[in-house]
Amino acid sequence: MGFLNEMEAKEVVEESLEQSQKIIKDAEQEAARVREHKTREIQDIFQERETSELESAKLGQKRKISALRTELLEQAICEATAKLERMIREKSSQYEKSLDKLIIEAVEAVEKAECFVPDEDITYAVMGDSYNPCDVQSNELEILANSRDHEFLQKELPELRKKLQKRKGKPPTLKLSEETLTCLGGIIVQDKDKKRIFNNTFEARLAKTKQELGNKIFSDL
Amino acid sequence: MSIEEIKTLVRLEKDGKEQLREAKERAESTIAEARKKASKIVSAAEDQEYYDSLLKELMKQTDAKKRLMEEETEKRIIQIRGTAKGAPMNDAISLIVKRVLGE
Repeated sequence: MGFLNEMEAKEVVEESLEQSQKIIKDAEQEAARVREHKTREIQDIFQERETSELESAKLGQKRKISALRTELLEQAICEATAKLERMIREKSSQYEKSLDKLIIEAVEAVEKAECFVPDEDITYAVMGDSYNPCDVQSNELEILANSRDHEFLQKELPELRKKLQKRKGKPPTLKLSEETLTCLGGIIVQDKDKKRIFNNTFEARLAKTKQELGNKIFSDL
Repeated sequence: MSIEEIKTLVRLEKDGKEQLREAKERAESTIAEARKKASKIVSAAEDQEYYDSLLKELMKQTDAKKRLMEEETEKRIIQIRGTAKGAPMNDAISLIVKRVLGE
């Protein structure tokens, strides 16, 4: 009997050892599964966060470069404005020739009714509410300019009229308005009824140039 | 069977039962220990602090990448500023003047 009990006791101990080994083994397997799952979860979170943070950082860097290009464009505009001011102050022939070109361009635009007023500082409406391109349009156009340029333009008018007469179609009646502009340079051309107005002042052209050049300028640096 | 032999058998029986009881106790204790250990093993694997610190470590790499990108951008900004000072700025000014003058 004692021998049987001894055998059974040995078996009980052996079984408990086996069972505990199995418990540990199972736990290790479960731990490995948990670790794998959690690690994958962390990697997914990391990938997501990294992608988001790097994208955001990239965008930030792009913004910095873009801001730099804008700053350089502003600087170029500023220096170009100073150059234009000098040109006007010195009454350079380049400026006077430019006035001719700007008037002809504005006249042609008004005739085609391609009018724009990009400069907010100059409060002219592009076209009145009553404007209808099908209406018979007035052929009487007037030039508005800075008082400083009036003398030159008055002298230049006959030459301008000649130039306009050389084109096809009926030439417009062109006169210099007594109304003056406060602008850096350039002109505004409008019809008698002020329905068609083309702002060709330097301010308007600078604004248009800035808009057109935008990110193109300095983009190859 | 003599009394002595019977006594011996009774003692052996008693000893055997005692031995078995002890063995069962030891077995229970061993299994309880194993369960405790197993619980610790699984808990350790589930420890959120470990995974948080792992993520933190990984994010340090991302921070390093971001710093590198920033450094590269700063270099690029210095390079653009340097290059723009010369001919590109003069060309841009001339282009703007020409456009404004309608040339």
